[in-house]
Amino acid sequence: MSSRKKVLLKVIILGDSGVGKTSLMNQFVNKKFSNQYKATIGADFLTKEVIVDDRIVTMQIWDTAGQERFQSLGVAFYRGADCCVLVFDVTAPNTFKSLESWRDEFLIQASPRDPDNFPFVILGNKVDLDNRAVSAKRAQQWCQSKNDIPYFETSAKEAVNVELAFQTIARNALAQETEAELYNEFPDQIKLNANDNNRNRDGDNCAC
Amino acid sequence: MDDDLPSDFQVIVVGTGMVESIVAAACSRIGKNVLHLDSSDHYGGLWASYNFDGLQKFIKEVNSDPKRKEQVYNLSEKWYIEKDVPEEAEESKTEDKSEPPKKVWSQTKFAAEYRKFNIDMTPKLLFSRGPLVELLISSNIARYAEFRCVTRVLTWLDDRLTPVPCSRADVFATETVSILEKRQLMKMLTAIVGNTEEEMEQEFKDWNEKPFKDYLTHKGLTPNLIHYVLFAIAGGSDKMNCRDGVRESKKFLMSLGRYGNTPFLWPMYGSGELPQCFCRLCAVFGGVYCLNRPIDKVEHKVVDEGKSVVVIESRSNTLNCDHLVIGINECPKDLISPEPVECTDISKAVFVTNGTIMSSEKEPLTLLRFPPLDGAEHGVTVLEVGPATGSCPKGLFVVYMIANKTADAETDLMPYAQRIFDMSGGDQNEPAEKPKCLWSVFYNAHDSSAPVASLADNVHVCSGPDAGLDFDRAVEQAEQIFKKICPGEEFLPRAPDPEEIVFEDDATPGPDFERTIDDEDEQKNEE
Repeated sequence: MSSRKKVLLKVIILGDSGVGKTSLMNQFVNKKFSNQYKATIGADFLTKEVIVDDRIVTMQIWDTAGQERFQSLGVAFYRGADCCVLVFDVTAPNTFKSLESWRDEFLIQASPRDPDNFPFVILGNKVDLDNRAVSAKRAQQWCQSKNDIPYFETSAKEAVNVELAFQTIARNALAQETEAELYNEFPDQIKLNANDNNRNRDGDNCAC
Repeated sequence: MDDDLPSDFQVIVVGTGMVESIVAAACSRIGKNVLHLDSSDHYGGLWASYNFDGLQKFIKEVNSDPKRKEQVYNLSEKWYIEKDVPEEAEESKTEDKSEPPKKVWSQTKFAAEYRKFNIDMTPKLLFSRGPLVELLISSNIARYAEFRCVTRVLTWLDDRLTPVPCSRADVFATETVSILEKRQLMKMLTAIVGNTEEEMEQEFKDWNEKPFKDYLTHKGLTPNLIHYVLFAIAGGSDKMNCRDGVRESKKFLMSLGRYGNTPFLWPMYGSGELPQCFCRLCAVFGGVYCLNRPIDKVEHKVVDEGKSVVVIESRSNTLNCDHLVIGINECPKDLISPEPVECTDISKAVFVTNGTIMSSEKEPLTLLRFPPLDGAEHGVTVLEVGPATGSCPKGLFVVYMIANKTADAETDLMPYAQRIFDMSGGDQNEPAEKPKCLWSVFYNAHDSSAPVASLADNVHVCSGPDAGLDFDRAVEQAEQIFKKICPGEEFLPRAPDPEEIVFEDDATPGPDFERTIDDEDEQKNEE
């Protein structure tokens, strides 16, 4: 736990189209909100460094890039997720009902080692709107029934609870991560980049 | 939900194989409005990876759906282990962390860990300096994927497996060749890589059409060295001509020293991840994705003054586009020019084993190039991947074999399998020289990699996978199709990193009133 090494967390945001996934991510990382997102265009993943206890944590937050619209997220999207944020729109009951299937879908596709304790967070978004249709109580009850998933009521538009929610996400993921480190499932993976700096130390591989 | 699928697009791509996905990404990247469909519920088409459950479904489909039989035939699946393991055999499996005994696998245990398998229909490697790696880097799509280095290249020599020295370090470290041979080999490899075009021209002008083997012999290489260069480095056979041999050797040697000890990379979780990376880029730039969406009918319509559109019927929707890009496996026959294309089908096999074919300190990732055995014409390519690649649960390895078809997959490949595996079933813990084969499937795949002409200029048919080791032909074809659709446009320019994207400020008026959340008031609105 006292390790000060940098930690990278892959966070994925799921939920029906239009619940505000991109806006939440953008509010958290860029402190900006735009009403103009229709469907998600240009949203990929954003990174932000946060400090949890005394550790620097880089959160890499992955948007669905709109592929959720016709249930077409591929398994590659879910690989290696450290935590999962499920979002619904408090003014749209259908998006709340979908949480169950998004959670199931995540557990099937990502197949985490310990599904019962995998860090989820539920965000009830758009609490700034007047036409609320899902009560906090109802959402909380559902979260409790799912092994006490933390629940936050957020407004990406007015920056309500966004910071707090993501801090909690990081903290919970990190609590899992210390255990995961022991497993260190797939070490030494290679990311490609132009600088070739993944070059193996084992000496001169040049053939000429 | 289906009903709000928009109906007009500049480009519609049907099928999510490698070529289709690259084209989709390239079109979307430069601003084309793209719809990408697939008839099945997963990405990849003929290039997909399956978990063990998905694989069982695939096998069932092949055995029952005549349409599938056009692509895959002669399929035979076999188990070498029991359905269940009796209790006492399991007892030794305790929480004891020091040297746990080998797990005794059963069919039920495979099923229980089905998610940990990622088995490729089209397993392929990337050359570290090959076109796909360069494209992934230059387009910035590399950020969606992770790779592992192939740790060794093996061949079959004197009736046993032998590592092939391919880098300078390997050549010096190897004990299988003499000092004199080392010098010869280095000279040979250096000449292939280091010579200028002119020097090459001069060196090979009389050799190009002659067998590579003769050239190597002429250069005074010993039979061992000829074997290494011809079969393992060039991936050839006795008949390979000198031009091809030099080209293939050069490709191999040029990719050394970038990421690891061999020239090859393997995608984490299998080759089936790669089409999805291109699809994600397409989606990030606005491409619309819809799996599970078969097309029923494709029509080509001339609107006016030579301008034509493609009209697609899919379920109850009518979709229009200027260009249709369609995978060969999704393509209605009447769109394809009936001229037969010459091709050799492919013999393939997948094995799950309980150990590596040749032990090593760290978990190996192996390319084995078998020279032709028993008088066969072609060699066999073998890839062995372990748990660290995300291909299978701990304690297992997945082994792929690929060859040109001569008889049928099982006849073609069984002799090779028997040399490296124990195919007899039986006690999994008995000490053995060779790993036990626990499960296998043999099948023939129709080679649909030849370019196919379509009957209309704005319908572009994408080829299926070839038997080759790499993705180079897919990348090349995707670029050609893109250039036809978008002449003069750049092919997959670098996508900006997320932090380079500046979000516009104008729509951010900020909070204009304070508000507390009172649940009780809202409760009445529920549902």
